[in-house]
Amino acid sequence: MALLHVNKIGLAIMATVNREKAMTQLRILFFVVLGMALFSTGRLHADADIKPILADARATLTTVAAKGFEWTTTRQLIAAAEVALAAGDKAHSLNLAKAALNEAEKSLLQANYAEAHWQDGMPF
Amino acid sequence: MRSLIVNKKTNLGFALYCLLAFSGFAGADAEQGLDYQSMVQRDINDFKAYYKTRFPKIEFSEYKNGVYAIDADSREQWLEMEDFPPYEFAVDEGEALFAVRFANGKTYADCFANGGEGIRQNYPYFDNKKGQVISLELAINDCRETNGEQPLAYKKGPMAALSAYMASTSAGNVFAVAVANKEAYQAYLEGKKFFYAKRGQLNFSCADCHMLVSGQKLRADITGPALGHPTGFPVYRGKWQEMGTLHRRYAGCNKNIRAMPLPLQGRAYRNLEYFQSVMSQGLEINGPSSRK
Ligand code: HEC
Repeated sequence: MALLHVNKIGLAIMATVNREKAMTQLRILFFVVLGMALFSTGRLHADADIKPILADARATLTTVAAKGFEWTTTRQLIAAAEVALAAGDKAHSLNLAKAALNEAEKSLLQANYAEAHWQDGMPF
Repeated sequence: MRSLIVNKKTNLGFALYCLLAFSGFAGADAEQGLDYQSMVQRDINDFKAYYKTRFPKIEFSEYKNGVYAIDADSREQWLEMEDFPPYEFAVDEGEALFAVRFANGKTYADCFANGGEGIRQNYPYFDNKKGQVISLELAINDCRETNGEQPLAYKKGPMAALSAYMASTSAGNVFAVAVANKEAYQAYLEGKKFFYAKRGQLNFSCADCHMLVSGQKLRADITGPALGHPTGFPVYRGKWQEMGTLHRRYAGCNKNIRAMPLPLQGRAYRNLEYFQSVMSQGLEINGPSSRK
């Protein structure tokens, strides 16, 4: 309770004294974000960024499949990412590639977890 | 002096060798001495006890009827369907196929014990020489290939028909699948792991659905008990509008939880069938049968 009080007072002081300072900071932040956005559209959507992610997803999926734990959805995501990339829709392709890698990694976790803890699934 | 040292060394070596050899033998003895069948029997008892607690009113022998053992409503419809069994044609087709001579003059009957009649309950079994589980469908294709014929697809069609016919000649025989040695136990254990491990994007195990929520509605379907799963196969399934093998159903249940199905009659599904058949010990063969 005492802590809350101090915080409230602190915030109130900050709000009055630093209003101008805060505005300046906001302005800076706005330009930084704008700059990042402009910069990143070019950078993030390059083939060079998508391809390693896809390669990683494929490699992880191969490992998982060998353990018998592949999910039906992962290779669909990989295929869709490839289609989007070929069609030049790089933003979409990147999202799909990331989703594929994420799934491949989760299914690998599932496989390894099952190997160590499958007995936990026995209801007696 | 020199020879003494050598002697000492060899003596020490010999002693070490004896110790190692002895411990090796002792290890081997312990493994041979393990009574795999009674380890497995404990699993069977636990498995049966689970369902006995869950469905106290259901007779053990009823579990050969899958979900219809526990769901009175769908049982009615099922019994009506069984009045004009939709799998009859498959049994006839299977009987005809079974009698066909291979190009080399042999028949299926030459490949199987007792001419292939009344033997369904002995499958799958662990083949010590081949070091793997042999299911009936695998044995059918083994027979074909040994006699220079092309293997059949494992999902449906002629394979399901042959399997249906062979099951029909075994009606009423009880499952008697043994786990006799370490290698067999290893295969059994793999099947057991498969059954209890969660998989797929939905993260479900066979046990989650066919034990924990058996008898409850899951979307549109009531999930049946896993006890007795293999007894009635192959089945004519309304949803398929045709016959299908047990492994076809495994693949379907895997897909439903967004797990990639594994190859039909591959090692994983055969071991799973082995485990499920061992768990169904004492239940009657009543395949083929019909399902929703
Ligand atoms: C999401 C729940 C779910 C999971 C997980 C699941 N099943 Fe099923 N399964 C069903 C439902 C629902 C049916 C249809 C009703 C019934 O017969 O139980 C079915 C039917 C079956 C049948 C046919 C039974 C019969 O008598 O015709 C077999 C065999 C089977 N499942 C085996 C398995 C195995 C083995 C696994 C694990 C690899 C598995 N199932 C995982 C829900 C599931």
